[in-house]
Amino acid sequence: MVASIRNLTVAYGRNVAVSGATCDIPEGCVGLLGPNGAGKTTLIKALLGFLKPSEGEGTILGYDIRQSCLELRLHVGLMPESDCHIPGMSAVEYVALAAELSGLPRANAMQRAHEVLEYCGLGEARYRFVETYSTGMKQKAKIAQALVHGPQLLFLDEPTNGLDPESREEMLELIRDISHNKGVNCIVSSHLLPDIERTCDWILVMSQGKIRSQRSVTDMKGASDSVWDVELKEPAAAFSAALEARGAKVLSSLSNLYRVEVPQGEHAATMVLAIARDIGAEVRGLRPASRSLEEAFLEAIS
Amino acid sequence: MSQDVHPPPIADLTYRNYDGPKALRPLRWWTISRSFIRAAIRKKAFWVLFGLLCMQWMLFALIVFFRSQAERVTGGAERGVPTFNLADTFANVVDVWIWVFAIALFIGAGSIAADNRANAIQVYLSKPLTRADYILGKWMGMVLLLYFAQFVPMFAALLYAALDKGLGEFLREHSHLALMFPLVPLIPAVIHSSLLVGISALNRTPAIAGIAYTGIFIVWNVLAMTIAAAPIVSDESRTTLMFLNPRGVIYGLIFNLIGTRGTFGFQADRSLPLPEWAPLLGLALVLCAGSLALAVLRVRAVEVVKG
Repeated sequence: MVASIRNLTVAYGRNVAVSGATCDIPEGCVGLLGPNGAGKTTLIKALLGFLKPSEGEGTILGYDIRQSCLELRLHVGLMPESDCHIPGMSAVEYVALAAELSGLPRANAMQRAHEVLEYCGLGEARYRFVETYSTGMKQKAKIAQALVHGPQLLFLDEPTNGLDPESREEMLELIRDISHNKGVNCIVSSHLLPDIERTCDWILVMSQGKIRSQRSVTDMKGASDSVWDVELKEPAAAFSAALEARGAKVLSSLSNLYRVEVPQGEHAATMVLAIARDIGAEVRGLRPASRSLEEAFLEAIS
Repeated sequence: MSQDVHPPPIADLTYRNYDGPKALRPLRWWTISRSFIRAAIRKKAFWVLFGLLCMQWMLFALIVFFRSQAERVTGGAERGVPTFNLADTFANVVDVWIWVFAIALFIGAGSIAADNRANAIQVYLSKPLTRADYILGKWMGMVLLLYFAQFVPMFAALLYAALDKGLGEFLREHSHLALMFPLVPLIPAVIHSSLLVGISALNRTPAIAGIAYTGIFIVWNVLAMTIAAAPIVSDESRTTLMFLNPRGVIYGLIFNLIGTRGTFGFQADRSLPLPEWAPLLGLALVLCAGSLALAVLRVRAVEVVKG
């Protein structure tokens, strides 16, 4: 586990932004998914010690979020949501300063800054002032400053904000590489489902300040055990009628494809094959139904 | 038997996560100070203002040159001509506050305001740094830069005066000034830096922070002078009262340090009275501590909106 939170509550005055959040965040790339205002950014800020929780406790990489903020920040990196750079600095100075502030010796900091900028795709532009960068380049500079000190955990807050499709693609590819090939755990906060689906293995769904669901992407996209997709050789009206006569429910049908919910306790394959034999239909395919992340997300927050 | 040997790559360009030395340093604020100084001295305007400050001390050297020549020609004290006092002249030249103020304003107004505008504080505080480290780093950078900007021309001018007179004689006659002058630049450096850090932390625009500081500096000075000039104020308290403002505190403390407030219009026989140091020191401490406390309260990684 990279993080563990128990009953964490963060309030801005009377306005509760995160309420009783409890979760265990596994290693790998974890998506923090939720609509705008769900409390994702507040949760990240509380985990980093920027905001004091009014209740609850949490640890990140074994460090207490209330007691060991400085030690914790030595091992984590933050790519903030908002546009942020240190004025009057080139990218290489900016990233080297971030490295030095994170405790790297000066010589190592400068060397690392060059390496990280090269890796993030800013090698050619590293001597330009960050304020002259395009939005996509600024996002890359932000990820470089978060990554420069070799964190074990990287918080990425809305990393694809304001990016054009090409830059977005590059950013997602970079995040996937960092988390899957370089061994850096990532927590990616976003309200964009495709981004999370592309990069993450595990998802935390937040809504109205509460954690609504925490599952792997595969589990989340999988429907319940009782819903199956059936493919017949040809469409058969009698198939639907026979299923319903046996207590099953046809959730949808499109040509020769049927989504069927079998009654509890029934064995789906036995039932479908028996009905097909009875009506003389030929079954081409039978598999557990899967759904889109959007459907799963809507279900989680409903 | 020949073997197909592949040369090793010139450099391994495969990116790896960093696993070198990394530690929580006790002097981590120094990184911020260094970066602050580097950014300030890179600007041309800083060197222009520094050049103007150097001119101020060149004026001092010129006064020393002409006065000493005049004394040699006229015979000085032996013939009843009022003698030229180096410490008084030093005090008169130090009192030209505008260039030190301009440098302080130039480097200090945006110290935190520019970071506020660029959301850079979030980047700083996401590193292993406390708010106190951040503020101390900015403050120390400003103090050091302001100190050395004043010290270098001041030292050069006094060195000229010492060589003009002869080093031994200079140290005998002006031992107090020789001992105290390194502390003189420290007073404006500390007070300007503390006030500017506080005012800059309150703003998101360096220009607004600069205007606010100039306003406070000048308006308070005029106000103190006006109150001191009121007929109900006694002559004893008048001098101290007119120094009870940021500008007055800086120069009042300097005058107490060097033991003279200079003379009226550089005239050797018209010495000005010294203000009392205790109320000035008290006000200086209150201003500096208050301003730094304000900065600590205002500097945050996130905007906290209470609702």
